[in-house]
Amino acid sequence: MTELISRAKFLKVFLSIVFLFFVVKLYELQLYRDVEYKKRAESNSIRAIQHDPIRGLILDRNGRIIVDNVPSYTVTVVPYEFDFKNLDILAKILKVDKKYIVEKIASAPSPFSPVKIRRDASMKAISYIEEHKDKLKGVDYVVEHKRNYISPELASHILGYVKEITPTQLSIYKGLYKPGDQIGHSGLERGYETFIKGEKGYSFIIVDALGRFVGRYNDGKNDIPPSEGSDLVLTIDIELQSFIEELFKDRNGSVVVIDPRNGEILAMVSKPSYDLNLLSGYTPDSVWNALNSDPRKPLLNRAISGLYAPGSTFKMILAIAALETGAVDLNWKVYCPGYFVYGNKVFKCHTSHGHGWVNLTKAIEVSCNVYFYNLMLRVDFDEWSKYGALFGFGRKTGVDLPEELAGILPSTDYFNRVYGVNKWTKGYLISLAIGQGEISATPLQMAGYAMALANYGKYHQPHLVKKIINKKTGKVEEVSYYTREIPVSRRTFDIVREGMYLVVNGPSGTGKAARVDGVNVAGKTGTAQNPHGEDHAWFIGFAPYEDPEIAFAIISENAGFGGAVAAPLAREIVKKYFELKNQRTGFKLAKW
Amino acid sequence: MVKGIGDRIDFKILIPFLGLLIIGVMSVYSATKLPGQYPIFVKHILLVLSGLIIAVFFYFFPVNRLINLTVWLYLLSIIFLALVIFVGKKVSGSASWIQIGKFQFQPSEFAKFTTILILAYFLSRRNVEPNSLLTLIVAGILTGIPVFLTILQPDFGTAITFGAILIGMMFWAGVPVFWLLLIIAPLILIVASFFSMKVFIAASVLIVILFLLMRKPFILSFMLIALNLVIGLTSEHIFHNVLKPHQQKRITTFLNPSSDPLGAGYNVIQSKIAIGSGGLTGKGFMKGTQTQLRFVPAQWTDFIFCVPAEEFGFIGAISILILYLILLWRIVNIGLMMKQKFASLVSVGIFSLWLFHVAINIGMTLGLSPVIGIWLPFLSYGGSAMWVNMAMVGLLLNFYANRRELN
Repeated sequence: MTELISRAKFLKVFLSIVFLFFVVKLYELQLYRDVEYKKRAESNSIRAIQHDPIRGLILDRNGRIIVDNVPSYTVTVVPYEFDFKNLDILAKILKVDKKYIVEKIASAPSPFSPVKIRRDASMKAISYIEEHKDKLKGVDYVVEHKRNYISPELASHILGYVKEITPTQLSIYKGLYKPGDQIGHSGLERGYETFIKGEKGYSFIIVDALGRFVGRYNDGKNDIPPSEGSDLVLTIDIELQSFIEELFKDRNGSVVVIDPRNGEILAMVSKPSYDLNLLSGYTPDSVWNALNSDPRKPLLNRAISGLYAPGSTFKMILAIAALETGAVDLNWKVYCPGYFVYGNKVFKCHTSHGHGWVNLTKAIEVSCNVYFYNLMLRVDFDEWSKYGALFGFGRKTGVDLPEELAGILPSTDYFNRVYGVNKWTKGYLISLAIGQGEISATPLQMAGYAMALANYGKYHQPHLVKKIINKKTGKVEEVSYYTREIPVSRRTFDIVREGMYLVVNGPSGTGKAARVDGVNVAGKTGTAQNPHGEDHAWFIGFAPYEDPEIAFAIISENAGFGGAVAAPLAREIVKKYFELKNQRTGFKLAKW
Repeated sequence: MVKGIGDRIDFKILIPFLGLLIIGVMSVYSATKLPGQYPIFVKHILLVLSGLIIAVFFYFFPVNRLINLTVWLYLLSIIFLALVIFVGKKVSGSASWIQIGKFQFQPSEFAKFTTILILAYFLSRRNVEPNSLLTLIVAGILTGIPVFLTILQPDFGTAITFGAILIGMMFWAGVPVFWLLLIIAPLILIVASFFSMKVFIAASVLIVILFLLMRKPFILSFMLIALNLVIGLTSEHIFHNVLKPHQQKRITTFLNPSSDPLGAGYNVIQSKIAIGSGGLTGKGFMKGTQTQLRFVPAQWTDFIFCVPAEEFGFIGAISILILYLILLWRIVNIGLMMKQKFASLVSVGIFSLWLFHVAINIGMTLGLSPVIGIWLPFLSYGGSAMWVNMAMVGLLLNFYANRRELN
């Protein structure tokens, strides 16, 4: 019997130990860590539903809306509820690959929350989903916004496209974006993403363990509505832009028109362009691949990423360097027989009969290569590079687009780096005199160069966004840009500008085709040698000569001589600019 | 002699029992308060009421007649268990139900009861020596048959329960504690080694204390403790360094569910959140967000403890523990009180069964023990178990009422 009592005691001790464990654990959970668990319980049952913000509008300088938003349907799937038997139907009505849907479902962060399967679904697909709700379990749709363009190909490179965020971007913007979010992928949409995107909104709902909607949390009082993104007011004149695009309908190339008084870009054209609608919303792989593999490179913004030899348009840099360093003056003349011999090499001028005796102004007017070959040998190479750099070559202009390239402006350092010290000769420099060889620039750099020439050396940062309208505060924020003075004397500018005036208005100017009645245009033709085919035609210039309002750079790819091809284009552009200006003086269009 | 009603009815059993039943009814009500789940609550009420009739039946059922029926009941339960493997109805992956018309029945619950009876019947026989190896083997076989059949279902959780019954009753029958300890100590340490170091140390301390309680010669105790620790550490080494990652994972998700939040571990995490967020006083009846929002699926069955713990907080949870403690403590005392060995052994068998269920079930909701799908006595929704438990309560009250006559 005592044996039994001690065994009973043992059972009771054991029982007590078990319960002691419970009490300690309950104490830990309910009294020691209760706050933590209460928080977890709250976040558990309350789920935040994200509402995408509405992206800001994009307006041109006159207040015309270029980009706005329209509702679009996005089909979602809750992986947990989705029946894969319906995969075939879903793929068919959404016109996507089955694999595409499976991948999207697999990428879902939680099996209980809806994952976006297809943006921009057709109305037909949506009504099918509505009608077959009971069969298509877990399939639903949400109304989102997509970009709407006044004309799908107009200014496509400047504006850029908006698309679902990629995994790479997601890892860069950790925490700021979620899978399925829209983000600007190129152009202004990318450059101004932080301003234009707006803030996401959230509504808080109560869900059960399976994520099913039970009710609204606190009657929606805690909901945060999405805020609209800021609007961008561009410096672009959309009428001028579309006129130039029309002009370039059947050409490849680029045009940049700048207001030299402030650096505002009035038009920036790059052709061929692409249909923005193809890239916003859902893009089938076939479309994407076709755009990417097109040899004409429609996705490339030639104005800022296209690199061309500047050709004869670059002669003014050499002229300025020569005048500023005192290497030559206007009295210094060169006889042009139509060719130039250096060592055992013959460099040709562009007329075989030659220009005869030419001084600097004449040399610019007739674009005499022989004069500049000789001049190049008289000017210190690094001085030439220095003035090239001062006019914005070999470095980015700082335009507010993300895809800008710097181009190449060679210097002693550059050649030493590429060929090795003492491994290159002055002969390498001859072709640089006429802007050929190892030199490249973007059309925007060329327009900036034209602006500085028009301006007597005042270089304004070229830009596309004039103002940002903050929708939350209602404030209009002016964006500030840099201005720098190029240290070149007025006298030098006078000489070079006169030469440029004569290019268009002189008796033997190469750019006579750019002449416009009533407006004095100054400019310079150029022909960029193209080892892969027909030469590219350049024309840069400004107008009016006396008090410039526009500066521009035009390149037409594979089109031949600058004077013959690009100069007439310049004429049309200048004419259109003043036509539009005169139309507008009567009444102010700025409505917003 | 006029005796009070207390002489016929053991209130130390009845009151905690009724208290737990009421808490169970409230908890199931709270956990099924969604449209479409109302029938679950109604059925629970019906089970409780019909169960009370069964309890009353066993309260009045002559114990000696039960002894005579024991072998037949045991055989019947074995037949049912065998039957279930062939015609069983599958419930979440394992066949453990027999359906007869509209009537569903879980033979393994019935078998728990009959196993207690047959073990008590066998161990109380006059010619059975508790400290002979033969007794150990026969008791092992009697338990082994239902264990084997439940594992075939497969229902591992229920199968372990039989082990708990066997050990508890053997201990009570007088099998040397030392023998039992020799069997279970390494098992405890091996399982503990799969958990964290913390758990392993706690288990080791427990084992050390148990060995020291044996009051064996110091050298022997010391060597046995050392041997057990070596076994535990070796299994820890094997687990972490020898087993392949997927094998490890299978064991860890079994033992440590938080490593797999949306799988098996989901329930435990949600259950801990439910309990922890209850705080001192709870969120109020029917106001537990975790419960009401169904974060713990099918909470009215195995995870029922979260409901009162969330809605009535620490105070509620401790109250339930106290009710269980009183009940189980009292059962040990009844076992002690009974002169008849059969009744005494049945009492301790019931004690072992319930303690095991309470320890594992509440331990599971607190994240202290692995998730084994076993019910919490009187709280969980579930027909067969409810009736069997009611029968056992009736039997305990019967023993108490007839304590003087039974010898």
